[in-house]
Amino acid sequence: MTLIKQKVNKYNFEYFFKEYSEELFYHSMAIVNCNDVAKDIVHDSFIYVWNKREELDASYSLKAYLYRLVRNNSLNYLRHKLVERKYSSQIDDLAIDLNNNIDDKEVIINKVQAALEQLPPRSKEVIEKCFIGGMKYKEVAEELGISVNTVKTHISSGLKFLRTRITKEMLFFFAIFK
Amino acid sequence: MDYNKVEDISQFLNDKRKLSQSEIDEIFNNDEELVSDIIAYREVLMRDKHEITYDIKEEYSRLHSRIARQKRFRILKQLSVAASILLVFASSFLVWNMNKKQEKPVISKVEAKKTVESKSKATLTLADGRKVQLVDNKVQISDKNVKGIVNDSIKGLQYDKSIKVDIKSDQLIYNTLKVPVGGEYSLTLADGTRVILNSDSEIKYPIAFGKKNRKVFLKGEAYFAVTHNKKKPFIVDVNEAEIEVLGTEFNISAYEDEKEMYTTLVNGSVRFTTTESNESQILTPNHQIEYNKETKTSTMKEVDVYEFIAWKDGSFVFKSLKLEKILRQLRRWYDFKVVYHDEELKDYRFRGVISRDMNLTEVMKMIEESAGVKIVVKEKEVSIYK
Repeated sequence: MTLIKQKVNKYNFEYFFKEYSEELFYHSMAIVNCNDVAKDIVHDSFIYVWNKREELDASYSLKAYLYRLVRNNSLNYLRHKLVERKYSSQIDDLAIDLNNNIDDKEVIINKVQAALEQLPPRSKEVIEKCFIGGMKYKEVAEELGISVNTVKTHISSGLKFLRTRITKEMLFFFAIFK
Repeated sequence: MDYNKVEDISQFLNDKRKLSQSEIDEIFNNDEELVSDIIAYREVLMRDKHEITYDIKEEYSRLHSRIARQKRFRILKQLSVAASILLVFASSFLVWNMNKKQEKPVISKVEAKKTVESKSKATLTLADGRKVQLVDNKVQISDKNVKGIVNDSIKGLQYDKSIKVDIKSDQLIYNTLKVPVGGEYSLTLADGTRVILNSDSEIKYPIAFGKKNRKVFLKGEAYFAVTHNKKKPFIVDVNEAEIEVLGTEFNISAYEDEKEMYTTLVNGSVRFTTTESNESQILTPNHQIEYNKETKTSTMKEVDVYEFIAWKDGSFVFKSLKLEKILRQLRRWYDFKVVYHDEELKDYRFRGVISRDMNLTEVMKMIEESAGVKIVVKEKEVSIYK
């Protein structure tokens, strides 16, 4: 798999937006849980890259860079619930390890997806209700007609199983940059 | 596992529970893995949710407007700064800053200007065999006492619809526009159809269309924006096949030195018929028919049309294409010879976007880095090593 290394210019900007924005949006949504905020964070990241396009040299991976921007800004928003987002100056200092092939992000999403699929359907249901429904264990237990302990077991197995699927290399994508 | 923590984090991420700043900080500092994993599951699950949608086109428009507004604001800011400095310095400051930063990204559907002005030495062959070199200036060309052919430096070659030709039955008068390697040319046919001809391509067309249909002959690659006319179907003949069109935008790539021929539809509707089998297929927007001249088989698939029409806006877009094919495409614009020092290298794949205003050395450097090969450029010869 090859990295796309390309200097951003007025001809390819739209192309890159169309290629990467949706994926970046879902990633931001997973963190900030708000459509408008996620859309704005994605926009802000692209605008940042557009404005800095001359300074960013062509040996980096644009996708990795955008990913970092979006993730950082999303985590900042979550951590501080900031209305006014500031660009983390850390971005300039972060040495992006080019051995981390960001195009494999799709592979990782697929692995997480596969992990989900491999879980018994009940576990997947519980995970869905808790992690994106934000339901309490008691509420899930009531709705599904199972005990709270069973709910906890499903959550536990889901999380433990995921860690067996995500190797060390992938931790790059899952790190919470401080 | 601290189940309470998991529940708290889940609820917090879903805006179902507020946490104090110190609680949030604690989670961020101590439970990194847990938060990450929950976020990972959330991302995968959210992609399947139909309530969460992302309209790429709409979002891009919004982004583009924001960037445009940013540009205007910058100019205002500079003007206000400049006003407080001596006039002499102010003008040079403004001029210096009116550089790349004031650019706007190009929206692909807008017709972009030719990026390399000097590369447009096309040749027009008239009906009587005379060859005219098309240079960038407004020139009237006369052919067989026909008036109404104009060559414009920006709009390209135009045929006026008022051209009246003395047609005896089906005797159509043809002109041929040929674009050399490294060139590109635009043309407006008598019915208003716009054609953008890519490098190393040739199109033969009647200066005024007949009554039955509008038929043109293509060798190479062109982008068509055909005007509606149900009574007179627009047909592109590419030797191996005929592409019949009804008011539509599409791209045909039919180079003689390529095994495959591609017809990509942007919008409208197109009927593709091979000369060999006389079988027809109808193309719908965002689909493409790939016809293999060797095996004589055609395959229809959904594609990202931008990849195939980016050339007309000044970019080459490659999504995991073999080096051999990429270099053949690039050769038509940059005009060079390729020498592979290992046959294997022809199959190496590369993904990238190359803008046509990059020079050959810059392009090769990019490919070198991305495909993991070594490239040496000497004059007009490109050598590829492992």
